[in-house]
Amino acid sequence: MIRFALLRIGLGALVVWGVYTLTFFAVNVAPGSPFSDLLLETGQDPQQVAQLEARWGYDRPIAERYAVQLRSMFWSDADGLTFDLGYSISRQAPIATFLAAPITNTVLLASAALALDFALGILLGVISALRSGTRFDRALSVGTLFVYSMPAFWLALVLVYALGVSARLLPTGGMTSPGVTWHADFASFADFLRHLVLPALVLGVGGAAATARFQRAALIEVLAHDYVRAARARGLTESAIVWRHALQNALAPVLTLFGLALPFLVSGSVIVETVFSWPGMGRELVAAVTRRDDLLVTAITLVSSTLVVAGSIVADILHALVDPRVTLR
Amino acid sequence: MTCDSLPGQPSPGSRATRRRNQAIAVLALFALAGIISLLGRGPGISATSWWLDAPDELRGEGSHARKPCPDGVTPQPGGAIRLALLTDVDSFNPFVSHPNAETRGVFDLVFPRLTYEEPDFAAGPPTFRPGLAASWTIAPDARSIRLRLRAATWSDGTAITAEDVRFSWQAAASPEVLWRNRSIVAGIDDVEVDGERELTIRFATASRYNLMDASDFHVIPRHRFARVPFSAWPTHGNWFEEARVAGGPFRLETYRQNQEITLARNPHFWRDGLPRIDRVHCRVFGNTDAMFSAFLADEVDVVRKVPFELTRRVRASREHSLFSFESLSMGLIVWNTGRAPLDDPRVRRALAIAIPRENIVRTEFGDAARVARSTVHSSLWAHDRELRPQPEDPEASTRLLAGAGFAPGPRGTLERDGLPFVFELLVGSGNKVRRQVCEHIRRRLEAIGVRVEVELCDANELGRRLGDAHDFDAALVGINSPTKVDLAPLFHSRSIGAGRNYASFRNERLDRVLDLVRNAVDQESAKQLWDEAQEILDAEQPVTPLWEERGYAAFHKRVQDVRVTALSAYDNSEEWWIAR
Repeated sequence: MIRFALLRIGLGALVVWGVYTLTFFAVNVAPGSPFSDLLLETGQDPQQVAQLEARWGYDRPIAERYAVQLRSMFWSDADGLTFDLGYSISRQAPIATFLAAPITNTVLLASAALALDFALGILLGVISALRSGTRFDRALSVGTLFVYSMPAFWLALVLVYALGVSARLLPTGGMTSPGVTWHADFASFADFLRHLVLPALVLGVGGAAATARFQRAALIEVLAHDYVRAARARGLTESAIVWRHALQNALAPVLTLFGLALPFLVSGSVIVETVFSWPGMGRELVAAVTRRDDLLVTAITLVSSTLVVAGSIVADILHALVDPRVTLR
Repeated sequence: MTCDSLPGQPSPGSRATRRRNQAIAVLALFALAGIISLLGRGPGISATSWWLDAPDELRGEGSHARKPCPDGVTPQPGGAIRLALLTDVDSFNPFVSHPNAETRGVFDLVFPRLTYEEPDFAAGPPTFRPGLAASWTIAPDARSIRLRLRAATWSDGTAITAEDVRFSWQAAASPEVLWRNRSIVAGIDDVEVDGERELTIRFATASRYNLMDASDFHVIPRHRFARVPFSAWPTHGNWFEEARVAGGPFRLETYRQNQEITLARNPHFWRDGLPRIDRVHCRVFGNTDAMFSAFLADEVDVVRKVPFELTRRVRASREHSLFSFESLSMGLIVWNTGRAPLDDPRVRRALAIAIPRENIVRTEFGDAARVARSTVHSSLWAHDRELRPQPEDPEASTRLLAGAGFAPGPRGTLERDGLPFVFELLVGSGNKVRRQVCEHIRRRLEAIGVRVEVELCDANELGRRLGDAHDFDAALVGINSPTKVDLAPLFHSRSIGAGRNYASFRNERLDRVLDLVRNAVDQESAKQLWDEAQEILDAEQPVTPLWEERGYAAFHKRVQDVRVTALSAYDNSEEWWIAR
C-alpha cells in the first residue's frame, strides 16, 4: 500500500507539472499582456503601458519567463529553498497570500455537492434496484437521465429565478448575507447553509443521477447472488440483507466514481461559482483569465490538478479498503 | 419456516414498514428544507411602506437625475445600504489599483478629493464644489492655484494637511509607482506646501482645466501610506488593506475577497451629521446577470450602471426606481487611415454615409440613445450644434466610391486594381448590442458592394490590435467622453504612436487648430476653434460617430435623497438615508 501510494504520488507530480507547463504556455502564447486593455481607456498612455509590460517581464520571450517563474517558484536568492507561486497583477498580492480562501470555499462547495451526489445517488440507486422493473423504477430512470442531461448553467439560472428572484425562498448567490461570517455562530452558519443549498444542488444533482444509475446496476447484480438468497432463506429481514450485506459489495464499484467525480466538480464549479457568485477557485479563475493574469491562472490550475490527482489516489485506496479482493500494485 | 412471499421478494409486513419509513423520510426532508429556507430571512416589505409611492423612473434631462427628500419627511440616520459591484477591488491604494469605474466608485467613498466636479459641462467647462479644499484662488496667468484646506481629520483623528496632498501628487506622478492614470497629472509641475492647510499647485501651461487635473486624484494619508516606499508599492498592493485610514464619508471596515467590502461610517467626516447611513456593504458579483438577479430579489439596493437592455426589468419592479440621465458614452467606428483603401477620405466618407445610423439607433437602442453627430459629445459645451452630418445616402456613397476608383466586380463586390473591397471590422466579444450593430453595418455595406468581415475579440486583444500593433482595418468601440475636452491625444499627428491616435490620422489644418485651442484664453474663441475642428473631422471621417447612450442607475425605493450624475452614481452618498 505504501509503495503504491508513493508511486502514484510520484506519477501524480509529473502529471501536475505537465498540466502547469501546458497551461503556462497556452495562456502566454496569446499576444498582448494584462495591460493591453488599458489602451482602450480614456487618458491612458501607450508608452506607460509599454513601461508596465517591461516591468512585469511581458517584453521577454515566453520560454525565458517560464524558466524564471519555475526557478522562482522553488528558489529565492534571499531565502533559498522556497515555494512561491508568484505575484498576481489582477489581485495586487502574492498569490500564496490569498489563494487559501477561494480554495477553502471551493472545497466547501465541492464537499457539499459530493455528499449530495453520493448520498442521493446511492439512496435513489438502492430504491430503484429494489423496485426493479416496476413503473416507479422506469420513472426514476427517465428522471435521472433527464437530470443528467441537463446543462448545469441552465438548471442554475432556472433555480435562481424560481426560488431566488420570484419566490425569494433562497438567496440568489454569494456565500453569506452582507456582514455575516459563516463560522461566527449558529445563525451565521445557518445563513451559510441557506446560501449553499442552490449551488450544491446544481453541482451535485447531475452526479447524483449518474451515481444512482450506476448503483442500481451494481445492486441488482449483487442481489442475484446465491448468498443473498441464502440470507433470505435464513430469515434475515430485507432491510438487513440490503443495507448490511448486499450494499457493501455493491458500493465498491460506486466508490471508483469518487475519483472521477472530483475533476467534474472542480471543472463544473467554474460555471456554478460564476452563476452564483460563489467566491471560490472557479470564479477566481474566470476573473484571472479575463484579466490575462497568467501567473494566477497557472497557480489555480496547479492547485486544481493537484486536488484531482490527490482525489484519484484517495479513491483507489478507498476502493482497496472496501473491497478485499482488490490489491494495490 | 413460513414464507409469505416469493424468494427474493420482501414480505407484506415489511413492505408496509418500508413505506411508512419512506414517508417519514420525505416529510423530514421537506421540514429540513423549510427550516433552512426560513432561517435568516429578513422582514418583508409592508404594502403600506410610504416610500413605495416614489416614482418608478426619474428621468433627468441633463447629465444628472435626482430624487430629493419628500416634503415633511425627516431623514432617519442609521441603517445599512448594499451596493452591487461587478469587479473586486484589487488594492486599497488608488494609485496601485487597476483603474475601472467600479473601484473608483469605492475609492470616492473612502478617500477625498480637493474639489468635486459638477455635471454642468453643457454650458462651459465644468464648475467645482469644495471638497477637501474649502476655497481656492486661480492666479491671473492661470498657471497656479492656491488652495486652502478645510479643518478636517482622517478617520484615526490625524489632521489632514497640505503634506498629504503633496504626497498624493508625488505618488500619482511617481515613475516607480507607475499609476495607470499618470498622464492626468502630467501638467502639474509642483505642489508647494505653504502652511499646514495652505498649498499652491503649479502647472506647466495655462488651461481652464487645471483645477480639474488637480482634483482628478484622491488624497491619501501620508502618515500611513508613506511607511512603504514608492518602489515597493507595485509589489505590495495588498498591504494597503491594513492601512484603514479614510478621509471620505466612509472607512474600510472589513474586506472579504471576491465577496464583500464593508465600509463603516467615518465619524471624523468633515460634514457635520453626515454620512447618515452606518454601513455600506459592497457586494461583488461575477457577472451582470447574477448582480441583477440579486437586485430584483432585494439582496442589493444600488446598481451603479444598468445596461439599457435590462431597464425594462427595473421599470417592471414596484420596489425599485430607475434613474436616467445624459451620459457621456458613445459608440463609434475607428478607421485605420494608414491602410488602403481607408487612407482615402472619400472612401471613409462613403462608408460613413452608407451606414444606417438612424435605423441602428432605433432598432438596437430605442429611446435609450440618439444618433451621434460629432466626435465631441453633445452633452459638452464644445459640441458644434450647427454640425449636420450628411444623412444616410447609399447612392451618394456609391458615387463617392466610384470617384475613388472602385467599380463593380464579377461577384458583386466593388473592386479597384483587381482587388476586392473587403475590410475587417473588430468588435469586443463581450457586448451583444455592438455585435448586432456590426451586423447592421455588414448587411448595409454588402448591399453597396463592400464586404465586411466582422471579427470578435476580447478587450485585451482589441486594445493590443488598436493601440499597440495598429493591426486593424476598422473597429467598433465604445468610449466615455472626458469632460476635459481635448482631441489632441486622439487626432493630433504627434499622438500617432505616442498617444491615442489609433486611426493614424494626419491633417495639418487640424493640428494647427488643436494647437491654437490649447492656448485659447476665452470660451468664445475656444468654441470657434472647436467648431472648426469638428468640421474637419466630419469631412475627413477618421472616426465615424454612431450613437450617444443614455445612462441608467437603479436604486431600491427605500434609499432616499439620491442624486445620480453622468460622473458618479454615488455623487451625494453621504446624504443618502434609508426609509424604514
